[in-house]
Parts: sequence; C-alpha cells; structure tokens
Amino acid sequence: MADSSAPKPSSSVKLVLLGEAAVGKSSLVLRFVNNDFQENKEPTIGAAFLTQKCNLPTRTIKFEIWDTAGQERFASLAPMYYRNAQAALVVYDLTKPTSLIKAKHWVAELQRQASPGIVIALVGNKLDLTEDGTGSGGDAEDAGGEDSGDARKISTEEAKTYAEEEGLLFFETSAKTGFNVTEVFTAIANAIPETSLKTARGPGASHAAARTEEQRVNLNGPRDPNAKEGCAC
Amino acid sequence: MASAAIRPSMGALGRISSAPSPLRPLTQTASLSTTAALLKRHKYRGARDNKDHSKHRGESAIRRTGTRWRLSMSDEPLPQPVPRSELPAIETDPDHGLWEFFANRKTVAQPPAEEAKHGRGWTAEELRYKSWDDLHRLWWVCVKERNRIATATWERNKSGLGFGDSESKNRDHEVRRTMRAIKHVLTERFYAWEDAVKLAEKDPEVNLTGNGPAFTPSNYLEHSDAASEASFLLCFRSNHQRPNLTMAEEIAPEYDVIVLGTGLTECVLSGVLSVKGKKVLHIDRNDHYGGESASVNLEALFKKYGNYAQGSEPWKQYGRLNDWNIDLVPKFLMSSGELTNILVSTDVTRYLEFKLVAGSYVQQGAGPKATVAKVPSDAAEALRSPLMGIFEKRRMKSFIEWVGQFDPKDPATHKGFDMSSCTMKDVYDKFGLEATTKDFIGHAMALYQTDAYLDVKGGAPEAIERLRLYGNSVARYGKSPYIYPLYGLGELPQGFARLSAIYGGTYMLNTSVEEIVYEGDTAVGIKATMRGIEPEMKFETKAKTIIGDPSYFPGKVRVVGHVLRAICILKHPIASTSDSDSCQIIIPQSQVGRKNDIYIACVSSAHNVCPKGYWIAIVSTIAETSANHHLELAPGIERLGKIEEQFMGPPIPLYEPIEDGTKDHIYISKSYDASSHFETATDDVRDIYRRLAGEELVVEGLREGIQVAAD
Repeated sequence: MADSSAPKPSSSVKLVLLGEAAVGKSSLVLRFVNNDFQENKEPTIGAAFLTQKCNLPTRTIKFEIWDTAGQERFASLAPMYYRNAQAALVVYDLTKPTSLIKAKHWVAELQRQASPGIVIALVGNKLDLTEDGTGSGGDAEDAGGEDSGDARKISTEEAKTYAEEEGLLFFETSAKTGFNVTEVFTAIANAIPETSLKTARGPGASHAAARTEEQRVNLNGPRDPNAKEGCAC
Repeated sequence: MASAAIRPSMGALGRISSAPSPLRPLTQTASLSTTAALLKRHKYRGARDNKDHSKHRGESAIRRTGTRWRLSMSDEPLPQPVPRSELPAIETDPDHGLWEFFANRKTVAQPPAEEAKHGRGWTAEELRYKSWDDLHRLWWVCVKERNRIATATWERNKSGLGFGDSESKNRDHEVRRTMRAIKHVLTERFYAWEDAVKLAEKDPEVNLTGNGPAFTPSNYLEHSDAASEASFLLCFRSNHQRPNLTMAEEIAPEYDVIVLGTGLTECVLSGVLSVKGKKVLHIDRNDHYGGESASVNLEALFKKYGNYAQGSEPWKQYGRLNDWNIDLVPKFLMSSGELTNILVSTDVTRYLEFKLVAGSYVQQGAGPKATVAKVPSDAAEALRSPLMGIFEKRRMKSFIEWVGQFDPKDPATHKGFDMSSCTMKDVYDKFGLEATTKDFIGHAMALYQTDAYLDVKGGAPEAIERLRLYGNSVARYGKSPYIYPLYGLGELPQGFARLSAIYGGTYMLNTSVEEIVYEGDTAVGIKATMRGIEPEMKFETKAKTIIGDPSYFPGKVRVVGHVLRAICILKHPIASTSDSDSCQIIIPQSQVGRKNDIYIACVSSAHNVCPKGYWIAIVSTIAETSANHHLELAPGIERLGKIEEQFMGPPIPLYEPIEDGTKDHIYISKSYDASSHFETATDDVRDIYRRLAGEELVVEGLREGIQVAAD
C-alpha cells in the first residue's frame, strides 16, 4: 500500500531451496523475508511456504519460497518440489567441504528434473564465520580481530569457477549478519526472463494451458452460489 | 578600552582629523579603532545627502543627542551561504538503530492487514525447552516489537489515521503473552534451582564449597572421571550448538508412529498425524513416492511390465520421459468428495492444481451397436440425452427431485418407504424407471460396480447418499463430477508427504524393512536398511504404532479379489466423447453380460501427464474368471480404437487386513479397489484413524488449532 504509488506488473515466481541439511537454507530465507536471524535454529518445522515481494524498477516479483521441510535429509525430496520452479537457491556451507559436493549434486539434479529455464543461484552461507566476513561489509578489515583463525574451507575461487562453468549466479552470504542476502534475491529476480513471467504458472504449464485454462478449478474458492443441494440433472 | 575612552570626544576627533595637523600618531590610532570605522558613514550610490551636506546634523553634545549610529546593516552586502554541494557530506549511519522502531522505512505505521499477520504468542510449555540464551533473546525481541508497535500507534494517533488500533492491540497482546510466559518459565527455573540447592546441601555426594570436585559419587564409578567429564561436555555442547549429526544419528531411537509405504492412504494418515503433533517416521522401499498409487514415466512403465525386447528402448520414441506421468491406479476425485475436503482442510491444495475432467460417459448396448452417451450433468443435458425416451425423462426428473429432497432422518421425505427394510429396487419400481435407466443411475451415478445393491434390505439410503454425492459434485463446478490433479495422481501422496514433513515427519525412501520387532504379540519397532548410499545404513527404531500398506505385511492380509487393468497409450481422443481431453466411460455389467462394470479413465496432455498429442486410457474391471483376462477387458478396449502401446499384467490382487490392528498395533490399509474415485480410500483412512486413535478423524479446522504462524 505504502510502497508503490503506480501499480507495477507483478508476477509470482516459485523459488525452491536446496542444499545439505544445516547449511542455513531456512535462515537465509528468514533473513530475507523477516530480516530476522535465530541462532541454533531447530531443523525446519511448521512453516515451509513463505512469500516475499521483491521490487524491481520495472516490475514486482513475488517470491513463493518453498522450503525443503527436512525432506532433503535422507534424499527423499518429491519431484513435486521441483515442479514448475522458476528459480532455485542451492546453498552450501563455506566451512564444510562436503556441502559443496552436495550442492553440485543438487545442481545436477535440478538440471535433470526442473524446467529448462530455471534460474539457479549458488550461495555460500555462513560468511560470518570466515575472516573476510566480519559483519556488514566484505571489505571491513579486521585488524587482528579474529582470534581462532579462519573457519573457511571452501575458497571463493573454487566455488566461483564452478558457478561460472555451470552458468549459475554466485554469492557468498551471511544469514547471521544479513550480508549479501537481499542481493541474492534481487539478482535472481533480475535474472528471471520476462517471457517466463507472462504465463500464469511457470513455463512448464505453458504449452497445454491457454485453451483449457477455464477448466482449472480452485478448490479453495467459495462454492458456486448457484450450486444447489441435490442433483442438477 | 581605547574606543570607550575616545567616544566622548568623537566630534572633536573628527574635526581634528579633518584639519591638517601635525598630530599624525593620534589619527593613526583613531583609524585603527573599530569605532573610527563606524564613524564613517557608508555612502551608497545615490544616497541622499542632508540638505546642508552636514554630516553632523542633529548631533549635539548639549542636547545629549550623540552621533547617530546606523542600526541596520540592510545596505551592507550580506555574506552568501556556501552552496550545499560544496559542503562536506553529512555522514549518517544507514543502519541507524532508530530505524528499528519502524516496521519498514517507507511507512510510519503498517496497514492493519500487515499488522494482523502474526501467530499466537509462545506458551510456557514451549518455552520450557528453550535455553536461557534463547529466552533472553526472545525477551528482547519482544521488547523491541512492543517499541515498534508503540511507535506505530503514536504515529497513527498523531496523523489521525483512524485505523489499525485493534490490530496492533492484538499484536501487542500476543507479545505480552509471550513475555508473561518467559517470566513464568524463569520463575519456575528459579524455584527448581532453589530446590536443587536445598537438596544438594543435604546430599553427601555434592560439594558446594567450590573446593575440589563438585560431585563425588559414593558408590561406584562406571566410567573413568575423564570419560564422564568428556561426555558431560558433549551433552553440554549439544544443548547449545546443533552438532553435525551423521545420518544414522538423525534417526531417533523412538517415534510415535512408523508408516511403511507412501501410497495415498499412508501419506494422508502420516500428514494428519504429524499435524496433530505425532512424531512420524515414514519409509518406502521404492526410490519414489506413491507406492501402488504412484505416477510413473514411460520408461518405468515399460520396465514394470517388461513388454519390450531386451536391449531396445521403445520409450525413446515418445518424447521427453519427464513429460509422462502415468497413473498405476486409475481414479478421479469427486469434487465434493471426502478427499477434496481433506485436501482443502489441510491446505495441501496449495501444492497442487486441479482440473475438471471433461465428462462422464456411459455405454448402452454392446458390440458394434453400442452407443456412448454423456451422463447428463444438468437439466438441459438430460432433455437432450439419448439415454432415455421422452416419458422416461419425466420419471427420471421426479426421481432426481425426490433424491434432492431426501433426508434420512425425516420420514416425511421417504415417500412412505420404510428405509430400514426397503431395497433400492423397490424405490426404482415406485418411480417406474426402466431397466436401462436403472442401469445408468446405479452404475454411472451411484457408481456401484455390480447389481448386488439392488436387493440389499435397507440399502436405499446408502444408494441415495451416493446419488447425492454425485449430484453435489456435478453442481460444484458443472459439466462433470470429477477433478484430476495436474501431473497425475502421484502428486497427491507427495502433497500429503510434504504436509507431514513440514510438521516434522521424517522421510526415508529407498529403505527396506527387514524385520518388525515384537514384544509378545505387540509390534514395538522395526529393523531397516537404507539403500542407495555408501555405505548402506542399517538402523533400528521403536514405535508404539505401525501403519503400512499390505505389501509390507504379507502374512497379515488376505486376498479379497483381483483387478484387471490395461494401460493404453493413444494418439487420439476416445470416439464419441466429443474429442474431450479427459473422460470416464462406464460400461455397466448388464450391457456386456458381466457381473462387474468396466471402467475407462482417460486423461491427456491437458493434465500434463503426457506430451501433446497423446491420450492415456486405463481400462479396468474386477476379474471374474481365472484365465483369458484380456477377453474380460475386451469390451472396454474396443472403445479405444487404435492403441499405440498397451500395458497389461496379471490380475492385481486386492488385499485387506485380517485383523483390525488393536492387538498387535499394526494398522494395515486396503489395496486401492476398482472404483473410479477415492471415496473408499478415504473411508479406509478414517477407519484406520478411528482404530489407532480411538476417535473420529475431524479434518475441518485441523491446521488452525495447531498452526503457529505459517507465513
């Protein structure tokens, strides 16, 4: 209400989160949606469908963010999860080498399962635990600030090279300090092609849609007011 | 000083200085003094002189009118301010803490709708599990939130906006409730600590002085001191930091419920139980969701039925594999049925999209002379329908009207029948309906698969209830009573599995169950192995309740019948269905000389189950003979025309549990029967729930009561 005087074209984008357990997927989203951070967060329970608007100069993108709901722990994510996703956030933990391997696995899985035009962002989280990420800015130099040394196990170059090879967006973030978080989502919003936004529900649904669109039913909607008890024969 | 001393003799001074004089040093002093500068009147261009040109007009020492001082600087050139651009920038902190007093930077007070988006406050019960640090943090989060609310309220009052007070009051109420709960928990902890100190003072094993070890067990030591200290540290740390658990450690030693198989029935139960707060472990031996009710791609289908030459890859000619989602069980949802109700109540609808099935058809006659006609969905269609003659239409109308008014509790609507003893045949006869009409009412609308229902004493209310379900479903969206999820029925179990996972259910695919562990007659746990990872993970866990589909309990189920199914891939819509993208055709048993109806369910690319230009038709019936099964399905297959691929295996056995599970705590679902919808499957869900929970399953409002704050 208060944030836009002239209505901009607005479209929904399904964004899915992927990555090893406990790399901070939910924390990233929580930071983005509520600008909040919870230390030692419990594994995700309860809410796994968040929405947040992202205002671009020419349009508004409404992210429908799907959390894994813990189904990634035993590699039991349902194909439904990838269905029609227009963007994916593949998260790894900068301090945990196995998590990048997992991330690569998820990227491959996305390229195999998801719709072809999907925008994938590779995100290294927990920058606050490394030497070059001590708070608000990456360049804020800590003159002897860190005591226990650097917890970083995955170099920026290594991940960046991989991201470039696969054509992914790449960011290093900290959900704890909020560094780079909004940038990730803005970059994704910008990277989504205008054409794929025009269809009602993602590119996958486009080919069959148009003619038979009116047959879609909305189960949540109010019942037809004319619907009477008994048979309509 | 100097100027003050000089001032009285100003006039003289002027005169002195104007006259040529040798007193140079004196004038020098005077010109240096500020007063001297002021003495000299500023003359701007065009300024009017006195008439007599006397500078000293009106100045008189006698009348004590001294020099006229200029009081205004107006005709002095004023200094120009330095332009903003040349000034150094004012540094402000973009993340200034005061911003936190506002919900966002663009508005002083959020709109009420935003303000109303909050969940309930924390309860003391939940907070008891939180550490001191968490409580501390939560407390300050609350304080901050209250400040924010107060700021918004103040701003609203100030600008006289006149809205949002109630919303923000409610919000504040929840925050204060949380704060009260925090205090409550801290008070409890204080008393617990106080009691512990009192106990410890009396306890000879505990030393509170601070010298030496605090705890000296007097009896025996199981571990060495160092080891126990280490394990204590470990415990301590795990409370504060989420440790990196290995996979095996993530499986809890005990669950409330273990569910085996991810068929629709199991997934609905798992979802409902998770939402109700039960700790659920859900296992499937396959690497995909859905079990018997899955949707598979073409390659998987070929491999399942094995009807291709070894080495060839016939699925390659049918486009992208991922475009195929072929149901193994052909069913539709009744749009006013119970499954729809469960989907809406649990909010699983947000993961799925549904589409209306274009029409429901019924066959009259057999062989080449057979006609296929739409089951009328409204009065206009009924009048046009070739299924009835003109007089029959009248009778049909009055019958349907009576069904609409029927109330099982109100004998006035029973038309003189005694509902406890009359049969449906009696009812039909009273309305004088013809045999063919009875056929399509009973089989295509009430969806009975045999004619057995006609002679059941007291069976009329059930049949009428089925007709009403059909009628209500048609009335809901028009055209047809059926809806179907995009991407196939396999989406349904996935949606419920996601619901379960969101509420804490643990999911493991690719996991085979080796053994059910019993204590006496009661099942208490399982031993299982998760495959597909290196190394394979063997684990054992316990549960008071085990739910599963029949395939996990071969010794505890019996066969009650066999279903025949043929999955056919077509490149054209089925004839005489007005080229619809989806339909159901029912061939009533009497028309083709059988005891059981033949069903055809057809879906197409409109439902994203196959590439464009293909149709998938599944013909099914209940087996009546022990051989020549393809002949039993023949009347249905005849309807399809040219078939690209046909998949038909041996008869599929239908299982049901032998016992009800109350004794061994194993609750087994039934196989998916041959009916065309999910009403029997949801009956099974309700039945199992009633047996294991001892109460009726109420799905309405399921999420509202428990949900914290979804989004």
